[in-house]
Amino acid sequence: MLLIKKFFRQKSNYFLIILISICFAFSLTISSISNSIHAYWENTILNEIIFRTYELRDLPNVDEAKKILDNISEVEGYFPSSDYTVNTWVKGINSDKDLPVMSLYGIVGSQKVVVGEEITNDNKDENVLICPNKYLPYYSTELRDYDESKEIDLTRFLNKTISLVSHEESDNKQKTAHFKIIGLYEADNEYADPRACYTYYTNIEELRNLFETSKYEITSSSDHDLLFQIKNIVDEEKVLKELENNGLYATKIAGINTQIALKSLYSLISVKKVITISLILILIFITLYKEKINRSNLSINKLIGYDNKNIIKQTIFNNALLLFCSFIILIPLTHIYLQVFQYYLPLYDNNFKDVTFALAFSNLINIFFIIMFIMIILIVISFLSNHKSNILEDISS
Amino acid sequence: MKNVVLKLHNIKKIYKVKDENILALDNINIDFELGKFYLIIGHSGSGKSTLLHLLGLIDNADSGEIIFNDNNISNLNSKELAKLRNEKIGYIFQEFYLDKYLKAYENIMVPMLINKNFSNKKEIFKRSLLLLDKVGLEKRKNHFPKQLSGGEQQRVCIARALANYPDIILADEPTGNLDINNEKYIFNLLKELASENKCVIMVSHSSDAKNYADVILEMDNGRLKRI
Repeated sequence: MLLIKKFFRQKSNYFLIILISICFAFSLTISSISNSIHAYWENTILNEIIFRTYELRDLPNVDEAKKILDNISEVEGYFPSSDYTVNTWVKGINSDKDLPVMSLYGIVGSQKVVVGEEITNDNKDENVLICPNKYLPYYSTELRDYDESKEIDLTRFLNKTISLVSHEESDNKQKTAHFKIIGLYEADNEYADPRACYTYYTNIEELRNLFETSKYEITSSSDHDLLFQIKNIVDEEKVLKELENNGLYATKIAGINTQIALKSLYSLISVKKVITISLILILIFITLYKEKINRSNLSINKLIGYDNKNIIKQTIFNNALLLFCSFIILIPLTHIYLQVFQYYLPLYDNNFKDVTFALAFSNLINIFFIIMFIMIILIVISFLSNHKSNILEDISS
Repeated sequence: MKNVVLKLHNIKKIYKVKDENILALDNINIDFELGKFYLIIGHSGSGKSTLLHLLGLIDNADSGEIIFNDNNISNLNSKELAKLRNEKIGYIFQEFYLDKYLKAYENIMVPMLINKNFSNKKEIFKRSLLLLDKVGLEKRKNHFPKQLSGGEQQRVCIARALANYPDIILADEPTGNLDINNEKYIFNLLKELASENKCVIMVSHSSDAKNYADVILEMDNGRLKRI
């Protein structure tokens, strides 16, 4: 009880509690933001089909590779490493005039959606399309020139269902398939084909089966390459390792350098590291200083009968109380920091826009262990200082 | 009948300073009795402090024996010595050495908190108030050291020294920082403690101190003589 009273009567302890709380709350905030962002990326951006699609090239035995992929539960599916293309007429977009040839591609290598939704795991089987925002039916790939007056703005067809029909309208066996346009990509993109829409490759296969009696082109190439997708990006390492164990080496077809994409985050993480290390050094310095000015008190206590065990117990109690108070304060403080960062970070970096920052329990545990580590350092310093102290010298001086 | 509490027998203490041996205590033989007020005088460097440190069990002799209540304490380990210091010896210093973050009564409680002879905190608290009353500071119990005058701080220090019912009170220049009135008060208090069957051993340069002591001892070049 006396120790607690003494602890709270020392202004330096309040200073230390505030210093530790502020610094660790900052550290915890950055870790939580980092966790939130990585979780967001893993669940959304990095989990888009394109980023969890891998290629196995020059396979000596494609069937055997398929068997291996079949046995990996984390693999969602595989298909030949080439774009399936179906050329088709499109009906229902414009009542006056149907669109001529539209090329449909598998989702792999698709364009970035700028309006509407991406094709995801949840909707990939629902006959959905992403198309250019400006559709150019008479586009010439060779000359890359077109008559702008003939472009069709597909924005107004977003979330509408269109009909794809086989070319030959006179054919009595003409087949029709219905697809919904759920997203639009930028047609002015250098690599965009303004007649091309994208759907999931299995839909293309279904279309191929549907249109098989027609004469229209369905292209497929390369018998020795396979593309495969894993169900969730978090299983990436496990799947690649399992393939390696079977002598298969897969390469990612697209990736994002998160170090560049999340530059602001990594800057904050660097600041966090500097602050944490500085804090540990400051705490060591302050502890040494306190031990020095407290030396005479320590020696008087020894003189009046306190043995080393008593002194060390006091030291542990003091440091534990200091860090416990800091730990209690840093939790609400972190919530405040998170609110502030939640408001300001998206103003500076769009990557933070859709992310909700939340305090991560795992980070809290990490901070707890760092605090325990610091406590051990402080106790060791106190212990060494206590052992060095000499009653005679300290009293005499 | 002699009531010897502490006995020094053939005590020698040598300090080594730059290859030179300095004889700080030279064959000291003396018995300290309960109920007496001892004054140790001597010029600087005569060995007074060294003697006090030995009596206070915070330094060891190079040869000879220290007998405490008929027990030779030369072979006690640091933990046993700490227990002996806590329960049997009270210390008073010129610089007071009070804990500035503890109130007057809390400073007095400190030595009692590790003494297993006290059964509970309430008893310790009561005794600290009693001791403050004894030194005339019952109304200042809630004051911190910096809120007390030098004389008052020294009285708290005396109360702390008495906390565990010690047999011996060691006072090292207890009035060195006090005015004449406070000095008289402290000397009277120490004399009163001696009359309560405690052995009070004081080192002092004060000329007035001789008027209060029962036994005056002079240290001269490591030798102790009775005046």
